[in-house]
Amino acid sequence: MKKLLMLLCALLLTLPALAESPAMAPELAALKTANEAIMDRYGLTLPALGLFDAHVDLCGETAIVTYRGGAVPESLTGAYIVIIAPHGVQPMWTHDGSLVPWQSGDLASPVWGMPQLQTYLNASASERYALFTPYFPQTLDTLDEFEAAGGSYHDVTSANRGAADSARALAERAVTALYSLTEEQSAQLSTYAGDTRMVQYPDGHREWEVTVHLEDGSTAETLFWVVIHAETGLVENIVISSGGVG
Amino acid sequence: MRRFLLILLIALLALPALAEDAPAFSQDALLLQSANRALEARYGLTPALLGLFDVEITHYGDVCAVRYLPRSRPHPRLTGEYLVLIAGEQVQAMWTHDSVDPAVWQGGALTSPAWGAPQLLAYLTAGSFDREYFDEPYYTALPPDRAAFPEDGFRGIEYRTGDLTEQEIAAPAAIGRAAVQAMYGLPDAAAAEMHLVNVVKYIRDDGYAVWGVHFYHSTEPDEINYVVRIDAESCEILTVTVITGGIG
Repeated sequence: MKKLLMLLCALLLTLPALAESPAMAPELAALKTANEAIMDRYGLTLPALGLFDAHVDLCGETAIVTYRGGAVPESLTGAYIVIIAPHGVQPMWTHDGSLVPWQSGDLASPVWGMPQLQTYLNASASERYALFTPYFPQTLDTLDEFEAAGGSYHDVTSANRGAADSARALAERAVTALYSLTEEQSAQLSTYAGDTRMVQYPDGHREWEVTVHLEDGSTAETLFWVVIHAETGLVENIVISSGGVG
Repeated sequence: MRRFLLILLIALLALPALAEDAPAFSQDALLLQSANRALEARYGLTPALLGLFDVEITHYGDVCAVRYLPRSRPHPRLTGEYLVLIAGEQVQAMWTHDSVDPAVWQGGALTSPAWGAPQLLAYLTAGSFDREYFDEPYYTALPPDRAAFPEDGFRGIEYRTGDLTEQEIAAPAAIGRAAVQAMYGLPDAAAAEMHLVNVVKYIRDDGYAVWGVHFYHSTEPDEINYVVRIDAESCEILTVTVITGGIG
C-alpha cells in the first residue's frame, strides 16, 4: 500500500502543473513566505540563507519565522524575524535602525549585512577560518577565559557586606515590583548572603547577582536571579525559575 | 590590601544608589514586565508558571520579541512556546497552541494536547520528586510529532550503503528535488544540476517513517547543500533545509 502511494506521488509529480506545487507542511509554507520576505527586503541570497538556522512557530493564524546565526556569529550577522499575520508579512532584523555603517562591506564592521556575508561565501571553505575568525568577536566561554581577561567573582565578605545587604533588599523590591507581588507574597521573599555575589567584568563594570527565593506554600519554590548594576543600582535583569525536578 | 580597599570603595560608592526605595529597571526588564503581564492577562500565567520557561529578549529595530522557551519538563510538546511582540504601546501575546480550542485545556485535563496554566499548576504542585515522570503518560500518548525529527526510536536505512535500491528511492528523490525547486524558485537547469548525495528512510518503532533526501549543488563560489524530509506515507514535505558556509 505504501509503495503504491509513493508511486502515485511520483506519478503526480511528473504532471507539470502539480510538480510546481508539491504538498508542503504549513510550517514549510510559512518558511517559504518568510524566505522571500527577507530576501526581498534585505537582499539576502539563497546561499546566504544557508548561513542561518531557521525556526518556524505557528501561533493560530500567525506564523513567526526566526533566523538565528549559525556559521557566522550572531553578534555580527544579527537575527532576522518574519511575522506572517493575516494582515500582512513583516520582516525585521536585529540590526534594523543601527547607525553602524555596514553597507560598504567592511569586515571590521560590528554589523554584517549581505555584503559581508557575500565576501564570506566567496571564500573557499578551507580559507574561511583563517580569513574571518580575526573579525569574530572574542567570547569568554570558560571561567579561565573570563579571569584571564580581567574578570572576577567576589563572595560577600565583611568588606562588602553593607553593599551586599543593600543589593539583597533592592533585589526583593525589584522582584515585588516587576511581578506585581502581593504584600503577602512579598513577605515570603528571602535572600541569603551565600546566594549573593559581585561580578567584576573585564570592561571594569560590576554587578551584583542576587538569588531571591519565594516560598508561598501553594506551589513549589520560585527563584528569581536578579542582576543589579553595582554603581548605579539599575536592575538590569531578572530571570525567574520554578519547577525543578528531584 | 589594595584589592581590599578597592572593594570597600566600590561597596561604599554603591550604597547610595542601592539604598533608594523605588527600583530603577533597565529597558529590557521593563519590556519583560510588559510581556509577563500580557501573558498573565491572556493565558493566566502567574510568575511561578512563567518560571517554567527560559526567556529570551530580542530587539528588531523598534519591535521587541520576548520569547518563552519551554525546558525539558514539562515536555515542550505539551507546554508549547509563548511569544510576545512589543512595538511601542502595542503588546501582542501568542502561543504555539493558539490553534487549540481553549475549552480543551482550560478545564485542566492532563490529557489535553496543550498544557495551559491549569496543567502547569498541577505539575508545579506535584512537588519536585513527583515531577520527573508527571508528564510522561501524557506526552507519550500524543500522536507522532513529525516536526521533531529526528528523535529517539528511529532507525535509518541508507541508499548510499546499498540498503535501498534505485527503484525504492526514485519517488522520494523526485519529490525532494521538486520541493527544493519550489521552495527556492530554482530554474529547471539549476534543479537538474543538483546531485543526489543520499536518501535515508528513517523508520520509528511504531512504523512511522520519514524520508531524508540530501542534495549537493556545486555552484560558484561555493557548494549548497539541501536536506528534504518527507512523510513517507502522505508524501507531505516536512522540512527543506539549506546549508552553506562550512569551514575546512
